[in-house]
Amino acid sequence: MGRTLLRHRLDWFDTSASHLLRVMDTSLFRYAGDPGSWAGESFLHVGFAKRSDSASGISWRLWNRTNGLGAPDPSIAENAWRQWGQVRKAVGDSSLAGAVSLGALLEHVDPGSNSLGISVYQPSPQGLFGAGSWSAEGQWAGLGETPARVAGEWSDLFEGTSLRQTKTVLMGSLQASLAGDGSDTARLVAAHDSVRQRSTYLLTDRAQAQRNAQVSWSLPIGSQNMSVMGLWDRNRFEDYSGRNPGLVRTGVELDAAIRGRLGNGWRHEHSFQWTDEERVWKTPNTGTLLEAELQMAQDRKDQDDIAQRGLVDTIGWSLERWGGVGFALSLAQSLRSIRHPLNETPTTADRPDEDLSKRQLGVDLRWDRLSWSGRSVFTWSTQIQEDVYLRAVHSAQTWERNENRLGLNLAFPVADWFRPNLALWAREQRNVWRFLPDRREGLLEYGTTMGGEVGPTDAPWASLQWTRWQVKTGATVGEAFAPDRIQDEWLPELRGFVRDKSGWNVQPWVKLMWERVTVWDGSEWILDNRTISQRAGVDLRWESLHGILTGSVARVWDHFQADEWIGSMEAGLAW
Amino acid sequence: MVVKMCLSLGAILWLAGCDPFAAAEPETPSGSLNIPLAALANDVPRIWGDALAARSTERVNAIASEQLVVAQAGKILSGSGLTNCVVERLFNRDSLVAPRWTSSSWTQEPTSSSDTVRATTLYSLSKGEGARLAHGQAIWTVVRVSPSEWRLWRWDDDASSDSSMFSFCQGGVR
Repeated sequence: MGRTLLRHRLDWFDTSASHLLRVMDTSLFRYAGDPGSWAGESFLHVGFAKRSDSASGISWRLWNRTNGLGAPDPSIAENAWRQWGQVRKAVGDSSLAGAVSLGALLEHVDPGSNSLGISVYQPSPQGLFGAGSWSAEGQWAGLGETPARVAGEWSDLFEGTSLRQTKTVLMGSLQASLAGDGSDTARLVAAHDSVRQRSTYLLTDRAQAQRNAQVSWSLPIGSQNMSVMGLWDRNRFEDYSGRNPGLVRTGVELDAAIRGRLGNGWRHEHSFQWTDEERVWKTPNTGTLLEAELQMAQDRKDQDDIAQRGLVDTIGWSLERWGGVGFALSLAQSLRSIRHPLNETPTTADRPDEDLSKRQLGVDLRWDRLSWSGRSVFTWSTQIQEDVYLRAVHSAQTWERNENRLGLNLAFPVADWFRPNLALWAREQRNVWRFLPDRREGLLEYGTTMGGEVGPTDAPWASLQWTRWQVKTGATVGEAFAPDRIQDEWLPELRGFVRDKSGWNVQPWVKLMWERVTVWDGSEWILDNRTISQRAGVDLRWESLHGILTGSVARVWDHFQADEWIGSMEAGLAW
Repeated sequence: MVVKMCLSLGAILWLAGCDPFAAAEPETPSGSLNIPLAALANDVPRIWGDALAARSTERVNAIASEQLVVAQAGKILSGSGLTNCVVERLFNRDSLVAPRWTSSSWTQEPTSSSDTVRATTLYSLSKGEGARLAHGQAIWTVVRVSPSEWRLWRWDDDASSDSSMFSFCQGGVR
């Protein structure tokens, strides 16, 4: 048996006049390897609430994880489970509400020889771990006619040596009109969320805290609409297992936009965004005092300051006449700057100081009669991208890219039973390196996809698509392009649709993929690589009021890999 | 009125030569420090590892020969395939941890050519202190492309390895 996935999901509800009962059971098991073994997870959740007070109730959750089942060496097999039972009681209404809950958490781990510990320095835990838990929540919505919300939650598992889980959440929002007449909307949202988790089952020992505040205001100015938004956020992440570096990220963001109509079908939009972000790293201490000092020094050197600003100006024109036509011209400009202010003498192994500047001008033409699929009939864009490495140790990598793209899309119905489509595209790219004048690279790509669908719109009989493209890469000399590698691709695909009144839907299909790569060895073109992959299969689907059944069987003939069968099946039943 | 104000502001900035989206001017490159080259055949593994740790596509391309081939059990991955794999899976700027490459041995085979060296190496690739992404034994063929520069020309992974770099780039280590 090859790689196999087995997945199931069961949802059961019992909703009588007096109570609500829900049972949910899911699992996912994988068989892989040579010789193979099974691994997987399952989850069971049972919840019960009285109909008169659905916010209160009891719930029980069981997670189970297993690995290495059926392996030739039984010592690698592992099993772990986690159970959490909770009783919750809520009081109040939509303006003022509170809830308390009591519960218990149990975790059990039976490790195998390959099992990992919570921390990279410790062996895998073994045995049963337990803790009690409690939480308190409150929610208030008030301030007269101004919607406001403050909610808090705090829960704590009574601390044990190997099991701990605490969480605090606090959030509030306020909405008002600064203009006073209600024509505008001002909003303030603030939130604090922190989690401390140490779990033998999840193999985690980490703390995360997020704080953010956002203020936004949108208002009409004549026939135009303006919006501004400011955001401050600070995230802290610590991983005590020693697997990932700690990170404190602090960011601010300012967005401003103005958009509106100018008459006679014309419209405009201008949006500006500015962000500034600081990232401070803390590598876990895994060794001696000297190693720790070296890691701290590297963390200081890696501290990032990332600033980004962007401006997008768009002017467009559209008419509903002639089947719907439109035109848009847009200019997008941005600059992303990365600095390492605490690294005064960077080496080649350090993170580089970098400026990435982009400018793109684009034209977009729309005529709905010729492209009813919603795509633009014609698109053209040109982009200049400059990637500058500022410090001397990295600056030889400084490079610039000029890129032009063209696209054409046509799709329109012929009679009521044939919907052909055609797309053509081309892309040209030139890369130059500022300090390496001999290094100049180019890329030329062009391709087409064409095909169509036959039959009524809501019940087609067959669809055919043919895609073909070619990519040439090589060096540029002045305006000339000297490709040294050509990649050719062909992708035909045919699919049929068969239905009957009892709910069966059968779709036989065939897909082919041919790829050919040729390279110039200095005197002639030689074949470097050829890949041929052919797939054929059948997708099945059956639907009725009480259930659904889907399945797929496919055969793959691959030039390089072993030929294989791929099958899947999913069944659902509702009663 | 707001539109006119924005257009006027843009025109004033343009006339004043102020471009808020232009990149800064870089320093002049500091010579050979920019892209380290392998002066000796057995420098190649270290330079390769440094290029991965620095997440530098330029340096990966500089140490790999243009004709580089990675092979295992008769299957072949081109040099550009390896570079694409490295860039997409290891050089993700949002990734928290830089890749770490270690080569623990370098056993050269006797050879008749002074410009070609075949050596057996044991390697390991991980992300920071995390689990290994790939590891195994490979035969590296390195060639002298100039009097003071060696490059990786062919990489043959051990045919029986499930965890090789070839497997990693062909869709993940099983």
